[in-house]
Amino acid sequence: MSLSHSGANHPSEQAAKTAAVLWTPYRYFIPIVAVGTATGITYLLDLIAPEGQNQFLFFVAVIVSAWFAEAGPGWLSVVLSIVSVDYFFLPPIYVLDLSVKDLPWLIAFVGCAAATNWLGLKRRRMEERLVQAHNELEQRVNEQTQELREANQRLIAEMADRARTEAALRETQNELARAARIMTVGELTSSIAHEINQPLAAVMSNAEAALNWLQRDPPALVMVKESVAGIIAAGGRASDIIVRIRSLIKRGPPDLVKLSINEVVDDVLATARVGFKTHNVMIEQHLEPALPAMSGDRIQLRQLVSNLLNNAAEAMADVFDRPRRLVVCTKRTPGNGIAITVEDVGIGFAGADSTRLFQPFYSTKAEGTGLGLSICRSIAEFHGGKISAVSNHPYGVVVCVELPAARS
Amino acid sequence: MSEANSHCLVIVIDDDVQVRDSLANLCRSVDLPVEAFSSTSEFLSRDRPDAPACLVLDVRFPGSAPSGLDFQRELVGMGNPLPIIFISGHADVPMAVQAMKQGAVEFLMKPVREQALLDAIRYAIAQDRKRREEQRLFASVHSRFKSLSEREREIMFLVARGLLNKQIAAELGVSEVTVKVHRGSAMRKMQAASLADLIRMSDRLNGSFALGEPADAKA
Repeated sequence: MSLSHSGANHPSEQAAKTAAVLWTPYRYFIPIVAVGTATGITYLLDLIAPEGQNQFLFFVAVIVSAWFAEAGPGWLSVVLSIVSVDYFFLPPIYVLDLSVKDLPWLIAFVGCAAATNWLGLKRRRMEERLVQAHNELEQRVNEQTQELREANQRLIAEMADRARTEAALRETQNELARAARIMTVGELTSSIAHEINQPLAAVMSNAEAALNWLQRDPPALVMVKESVAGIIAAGGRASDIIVRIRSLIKRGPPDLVKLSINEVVDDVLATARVGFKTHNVMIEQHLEPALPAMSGDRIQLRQLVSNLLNNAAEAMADVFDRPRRLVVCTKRTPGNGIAITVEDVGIGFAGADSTRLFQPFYSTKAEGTGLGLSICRSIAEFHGGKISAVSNHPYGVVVCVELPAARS
Repeated sequence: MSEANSHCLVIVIDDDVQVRDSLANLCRSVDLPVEAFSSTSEFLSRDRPDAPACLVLDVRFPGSAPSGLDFQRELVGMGNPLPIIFISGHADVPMAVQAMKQGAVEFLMKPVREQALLDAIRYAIAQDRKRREEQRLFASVHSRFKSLSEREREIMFLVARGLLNKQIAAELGVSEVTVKVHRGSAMRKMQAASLADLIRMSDRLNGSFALGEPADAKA
């Protein structure tokens, strides 16, 4: 991508230097040397072939001078040639007597020099134009290179900027999500206190009742046992609530591991089953064996499944005329993903907008927080999956979460 | 205690099965007869046993069911003023004030101390017993009162106002003998052992105007 700047300018600088040398006064040596040389060689040729027209070399000298040293030296070479020819080679020899008989020579030399000058001028103009064109081209290339480089740098800067913005955005989103969760927790402190208070109240009352049963004569041990069982159940519920709140406000990067979604569902069902039993919810599970493993955060996925189950169970709280049946399935999807579906026979959407179900703070329940399903959605999307809900026939809703399998 | 417990009923209404069961368990452990309901509508759909009773009610009910306070208002409107002990998960002062203004016996915070709850229950049941007694007395006085003739009623209220036979005769424009006869018959029909007894009955009848029982006698 990068172009060498110094390398591009090098040849034109060299040419400029050569031109500067040629334009110095030293170039006037060229006609002197050329005419001198022509004189010497012609003299020698005359010794060898006295009858030959040997003065043609002066034309060469004039041409060389005019060509290489340009106009001034060219005219100097004309003058020197006339003098030399007249002095050395035209009779009377060794006498400088410029006369009419020299005129043809003079005209020939002048014509030759003029023609050569003219040609040289043209050549130089052409050269200059060429150099200029070359320079212009080079400049344009440089400019464009520069532009390209700048554009490139801008692009790099923009890319870095965008990466920063995206990171900031992600950070903000995380913060926002956490803030939303914490705000919700803040808003729901009273209802959490209520939730914790419920089992606590049950624990206290049952414990006091147990004491009363024990103080009887004889102690009513069956009732004591029943009271203690009530205490245990309420204690378990309180701890479940705490776990739920903790996972709600838990911060820290998700811990991605390879896991089996069936295990997650089993885990959640193991703890949820007791609670569902007391609410007369029958759970059916159809977990497809040998599902592909997926990469995910175990706690988040547990929360996802647990939210779905709770949601389904709560939707059936007002159902008395039919069995409260909850079906949880896992299966392989056509695209080698994994689908978890949870069906209930509850009140269904009850006219609610199914697309709003997954928005935060939207609830069809009077005391619902509107967070359960929206948390499910963010968990599903975080794992690269999606969540959807359709009506179950004839009652209730089917919520389906599709998750991608882990890349092997 | 057991003599007070005999023939009474604690009614627990809470949508939370654990809380409901634990409260019922606690009541049973001190030999208080108890019935538990998951909602106010479930409670209303049952026949109420004829015994002094009180309600132990969560102030808040989730979902579409009316809140405890609404239910309290509803009961008063139905002329069924069962004493209510509210249990709340929050220290909600306005709610507590409202409940007490509407005649609640007690407003307790969850988790409830056994002693506080049982004291409140006993107090509420005693109150209900007293109210039922009052109601029963009124009903019998009222039925006796209904058997009086118009003139006997008039004379009974004038007597209760402290008028002498002579004054009554003058007021009604009848003879003193007639007043004496009617007064004696009123005393007999009302089964009043003494004048003071008759006056108390008259007061009871007058006091029940507020309950919408027309026992009026205009002078």
